[in-house]
Amino acid sequence: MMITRNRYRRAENEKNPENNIEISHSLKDNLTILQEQFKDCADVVMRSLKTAGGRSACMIYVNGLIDNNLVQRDVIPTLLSLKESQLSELKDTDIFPTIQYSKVFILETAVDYVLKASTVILINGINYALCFNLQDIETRAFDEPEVERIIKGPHDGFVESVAKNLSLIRRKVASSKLKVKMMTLGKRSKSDIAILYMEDIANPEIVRKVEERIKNIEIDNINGAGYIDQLTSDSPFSLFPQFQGTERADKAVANLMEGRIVILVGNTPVALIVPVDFFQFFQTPDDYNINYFFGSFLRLLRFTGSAIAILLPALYIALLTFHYQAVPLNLLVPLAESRSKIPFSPIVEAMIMEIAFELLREASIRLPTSLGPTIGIVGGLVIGQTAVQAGIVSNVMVVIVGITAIATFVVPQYDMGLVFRIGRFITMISAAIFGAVGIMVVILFAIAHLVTLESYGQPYFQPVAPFKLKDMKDIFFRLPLFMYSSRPDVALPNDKTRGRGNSKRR
Amino acid sequence: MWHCPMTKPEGGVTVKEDNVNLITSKQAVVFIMVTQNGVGILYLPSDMAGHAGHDGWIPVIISGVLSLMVSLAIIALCRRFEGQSILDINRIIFGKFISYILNTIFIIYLFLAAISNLGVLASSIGVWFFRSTPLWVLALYIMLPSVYLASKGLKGVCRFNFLIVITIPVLLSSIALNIHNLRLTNLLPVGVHGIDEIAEALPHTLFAYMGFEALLFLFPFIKDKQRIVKHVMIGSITVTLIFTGFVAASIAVFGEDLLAKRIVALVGLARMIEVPVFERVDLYYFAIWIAAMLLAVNAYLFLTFNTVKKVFKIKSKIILLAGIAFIVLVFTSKLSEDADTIFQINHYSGDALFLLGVLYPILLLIITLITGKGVKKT
Repeated sequence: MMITRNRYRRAENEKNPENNIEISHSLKDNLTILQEQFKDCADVVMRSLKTAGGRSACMIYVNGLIDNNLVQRDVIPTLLSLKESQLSELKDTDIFPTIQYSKVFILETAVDYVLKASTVILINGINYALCFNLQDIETRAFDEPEVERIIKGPHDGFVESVAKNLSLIRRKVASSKLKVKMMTLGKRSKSDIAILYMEDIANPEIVRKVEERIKNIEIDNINGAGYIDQLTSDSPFSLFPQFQGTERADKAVANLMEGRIVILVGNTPVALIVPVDFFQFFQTPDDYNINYFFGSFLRLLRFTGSAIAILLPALYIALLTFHYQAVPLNLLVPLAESRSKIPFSPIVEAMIMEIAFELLREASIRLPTSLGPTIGIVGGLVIGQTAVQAGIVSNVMVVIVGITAIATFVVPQYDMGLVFRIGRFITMISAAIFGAVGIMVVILFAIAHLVTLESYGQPYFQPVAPFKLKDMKDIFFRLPLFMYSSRPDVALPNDKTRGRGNSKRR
Repeated sequence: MWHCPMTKPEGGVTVKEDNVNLITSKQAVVFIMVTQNGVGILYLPSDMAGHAGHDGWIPVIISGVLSLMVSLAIIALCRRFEGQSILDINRIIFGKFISYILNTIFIIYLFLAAISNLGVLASSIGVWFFRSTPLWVLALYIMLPSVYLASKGLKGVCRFNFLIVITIPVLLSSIALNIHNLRLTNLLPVGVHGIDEIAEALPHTLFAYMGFEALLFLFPFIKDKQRIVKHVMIGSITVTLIFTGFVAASIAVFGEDLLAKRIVALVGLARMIEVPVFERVDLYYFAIWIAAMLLAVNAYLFLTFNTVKKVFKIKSKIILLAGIAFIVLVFTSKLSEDADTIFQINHYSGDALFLLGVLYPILLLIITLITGKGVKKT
């Protein structure tokens, strides 16, 4: 329904005559329209020049986006020395000594070029515009992403420019099979989008699907990768992330090699990866760079951490409210002692502490680093120790909140971590009403949702359900690398084998 | 090779299955296994001990072999009709009007099965955890995942069944961790209860084996029909072995007299397990077993949903699901928590299974073999 509406709108736009005005031979006419368009745009500069042949010309650019030095060195002198005889050649030959150079016949397109940091030149008597892409946009260096730090492995991460990010990936994949499809998205923001895939590995059907879904987005501004994620996912109401966002180039490349598709979005360092499966969110590039045994240990640690994050407070509530028979006697006595002065039921006690912790966590993101120690004192002393002394919460509860808090940070992906944060509250409430049964029902419901969820038509919970033994090598355990001769099935790769692995085995 | 018929066979029935319902034969067999493995097994050992004493495992193994035979008969029947479901076969053989009545009877059976499974699940939770919570509240809460899954189609239900990798080890571990309590002399002398008692106990095993008749409804959805026989055999033999082993182990641990009084053998076995740190292991066992029982509820709820949708041609998924859930809930809430009522409803469904899942397909198969009715291979 939405797609057809979008198509209709797009067709209407194409029919709209205002967007299709051709550049006329008269510079004056062109400039009148452009001046009207760029009215009150103080950053757009229109500089009048005269060629050697005596024709008037106009150079249009956005101040601060173009490389002044290059334009001054290569474009302006050539333009000024342009003779009448050269004008006829202009259409077929490149007399300007620049790399990126194009001719545009539609005025609206020329406007787009100006806004996308090109230097556009209009010459009287010529019905096209010359566009030079000599931009100089400030970008930062390829730093290590703050939220995805690793110990062993490359430390370069994406930046805010699609072109630079592309170069970073191309540096790591020197193959002509790495294909890049560029498009712009956002009616007003005109953000660059690049869809990357390995031609001989990725499934063309999924590539086509990704392209189509992104093309069908009708929005005026793409502010970050999350917009694309939410506008194209299979089940937009699901809590679970259906795209993997990463700032790591090595992770993007590893996923390309598994036949997945990487989407780079302009003005954000986050690249999106599709299709995804649930277990991918528990993997980090570090797992593969270290010994398989430690890799497996870390993997198991993460799954255990996630289970603790979602279950521990709920188990506490269920055990203390309904199933105190299941608590060992040696533990029950100190537990009862510590709870004897607490005026609240376990669920209220747990809610107070969990919400306090969530507040602390959210506040610490906003606080300037210089105030970091303050949060430490408030969090550690006031909320922890003093709350116990004041008799608001029990000692055991503080321990549980502490362990749970640490456990939520073990999940390497922020989006998946959020699911566990929210899931914790759902299990807690359910446990307060139905005890262990409540916890079971929430888990079963979550699994029911996970097994029916799909990412670009691929089962989200594979290789567990549907079960694929071959792909289990990289789920709960990270088996030795020489066993990785086949690619995982998630992206339905065309080329299923990676190579023979360990050279000793040949 | 057998294909899912997309053409129009004799009876004027078109089977056109959409993608969300197509499954592999392995998934179909796991579907049957989880249906059998969930609810019936809880009460099977004590029921058997009551009827056949320490020879209780003999009717279980006989029943397992018979259920395999019936499954094969069902496959043969469905294959004669190009792999259509019992609903379409009824229509082809008996015409529109009579088949409508027959299919309605099947729907009533599926409702009964869903209600008895959910009833056992909810009432066991009531007995074990929440004595004063009304049954319908527990049943409503516990069936939420099932209703959600039923709305997502057979594929989702079958993927959910991967939980079998948790439930079967749980069952087996209850025996393995009690290995020092096994007194094999409790099983001896073999056969002392005689053929009469064993034959008498046979019908009581039916409720535990309930689930193989799902093939009657699932057959059209299976993609690789040529491999179903192999997988059904593997699945059926596995379930029979597990059931026989579990009943025999329960008898060996408790002895026939004590076991007849212990209504839920699994919990009894779990209670005898002692591990450090955790106390009352039976509670954990039972909590995990909720998942196993839910799988059976899932299966019947989906079958009911799909069958009603097909027979009465109801388009609105929400109304249909809500209606089915409501009916199941109302009848479940009428059950009481004591074991007698539950045994009663289990035996009713066991009898209904005998009529509709065993006698009827075999009869139909014999009739079609004699009259030569059926859809020819294409």
